Amino acid sequence: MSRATRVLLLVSLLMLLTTLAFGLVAAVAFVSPTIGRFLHFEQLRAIHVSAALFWIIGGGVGVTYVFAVRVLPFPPQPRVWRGFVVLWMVAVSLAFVAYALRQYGGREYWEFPPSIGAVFLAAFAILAAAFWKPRWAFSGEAPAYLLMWTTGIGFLLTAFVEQNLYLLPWFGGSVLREIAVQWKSNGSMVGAWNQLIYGSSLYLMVQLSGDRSIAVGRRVYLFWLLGFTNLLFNWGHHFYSLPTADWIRHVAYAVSMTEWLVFLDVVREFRRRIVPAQRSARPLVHRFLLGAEWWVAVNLFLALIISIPAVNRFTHGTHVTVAHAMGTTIGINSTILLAILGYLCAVDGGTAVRERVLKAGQSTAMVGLGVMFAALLCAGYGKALASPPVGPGDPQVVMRVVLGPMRVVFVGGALLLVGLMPVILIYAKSLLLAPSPLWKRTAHSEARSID
Amino acid sequence: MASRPPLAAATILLFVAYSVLVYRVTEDPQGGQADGSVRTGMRVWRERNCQACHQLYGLGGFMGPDLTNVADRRDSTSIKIMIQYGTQRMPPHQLSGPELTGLLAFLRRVNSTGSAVVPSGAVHWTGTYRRRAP
Repeated sequence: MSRATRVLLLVSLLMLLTTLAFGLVAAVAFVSPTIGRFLHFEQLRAIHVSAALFWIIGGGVGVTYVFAVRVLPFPPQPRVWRGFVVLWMVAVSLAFVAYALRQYGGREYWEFPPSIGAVFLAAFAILAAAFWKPRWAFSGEAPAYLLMWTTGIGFLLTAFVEQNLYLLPWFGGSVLREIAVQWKSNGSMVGAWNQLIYGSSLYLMVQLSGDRSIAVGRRVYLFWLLGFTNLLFNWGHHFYSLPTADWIRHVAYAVSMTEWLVFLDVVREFRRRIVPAQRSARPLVHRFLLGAEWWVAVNLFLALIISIPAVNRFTHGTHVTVAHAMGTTIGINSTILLAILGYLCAVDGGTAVRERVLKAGQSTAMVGLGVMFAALLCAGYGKALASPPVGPGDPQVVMRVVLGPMRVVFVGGALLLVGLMPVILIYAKSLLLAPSPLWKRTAHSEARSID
Repeated sequence: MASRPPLAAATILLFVAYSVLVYRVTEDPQGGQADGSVRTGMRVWRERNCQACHQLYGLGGFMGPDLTNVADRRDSTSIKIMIQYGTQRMPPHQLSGPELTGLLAFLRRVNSTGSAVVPSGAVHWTGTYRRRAP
């Protein structure tokens, strides 16, 4: 693993820690107006959500690069890769300097001044230029993870450009257009990083099982196409309530419902996946993967329900949406990334103490996430009852209703931080000090053995 | 999957065409572009990160209320006072005259685009609903 890659993954882990810590402080500001007066919630939230994105995107790109250089006949040039890492670091640093100075100007999740977006754009452009080799991904029996990496990296750039179209007068001059395009592109961005992370997860499962056939074949390509179609067309559920053309809503509704196929497949395959986990030589990695599998089922079910416009009418604008966002970014994206990083850091096979610490950390984090998820659903339910179209929507009443569950969210968040802290520290120590033999594999040795 | 390249190309072309269509139809009902004062308000909304605490059409943070139709619920004076002096949870914002005027103009423009609440009569038995004629 190159130094640039290790730095990227270390900084991504720092972003995860930042997300957890600032999320907890933001929760304190939310539940306690007395303490909240000394904190700046708009600053805490900006740091929290941006750090989450930087962890997921930086970590996703980093692990994809580690795997991609093993399988691509002509991997990205090291110099170009270093260029991306440097630009990414500069962009992330500038964003946090802006937040520290309470300078904003961007849109949700990218609240830093738009001028900093130019650095992110350069980073995404270099990444796409280095990585994007569609003829490999779309030819013959290319494994599905190549397809996923290609579409993921391509759409990181596309979605980011679209997210900044509001800077053009024609887009920014219409309120409805500005909101629609923002949430259209946000949906595509999520789809893009999902493609990267699921692609890397699929590659990992090929490595763990030694069975290449799970990455080729009609079934896995059909599920890739389903995921890709959702990336392209499923963002409409973000703004069902926006008074725009109805067909946008109808298309999004129809595309959303195709994910029942994914849900049913996850449920059907779940039992089958437990057996390899129990017999695995890498039990810790498998624990994370199984945890992610469980959260895929839970979050997919919730997403399918709230994607029904008639249900969304009540849940939109409530903490049910937050439960969905946290459940997916933590339960799925972060858990898969931690599984992959655990594999790369060779966490299995360490001392018995380290194994116990990691297992306890992982279990505590999953319990914390479960507590947070359930509490957010309760807060969302309460807010829905107190808000139009059901309730009067008095802000004081709404806040009174959600405060209790939000205190429980704080407890869940604290468990999450306590659980993941030792995991992050052990991974970081491994990246800094103890090179894993897995890093030394080259594209040629791996390509011959697997592909 | 021998037909992958044409299938992927067709899907992407469909996405581009669909995106252009979405851009064209998501226009404010009053048509035209927002004037200078509204655009000033949009800029202030972003620069003060109002979306961290408030929502428009349910999108944003949940510390404060949804402000889509606040211009209907409150008069300009009371909105100005809340912005300038804050509340128990909302910090005060010292804005210049044009910024405050622009922010109010922006909130009035948002209010004129429609209601954040979907009436029960709009819901169809298939689970979807109609908000606006195509």
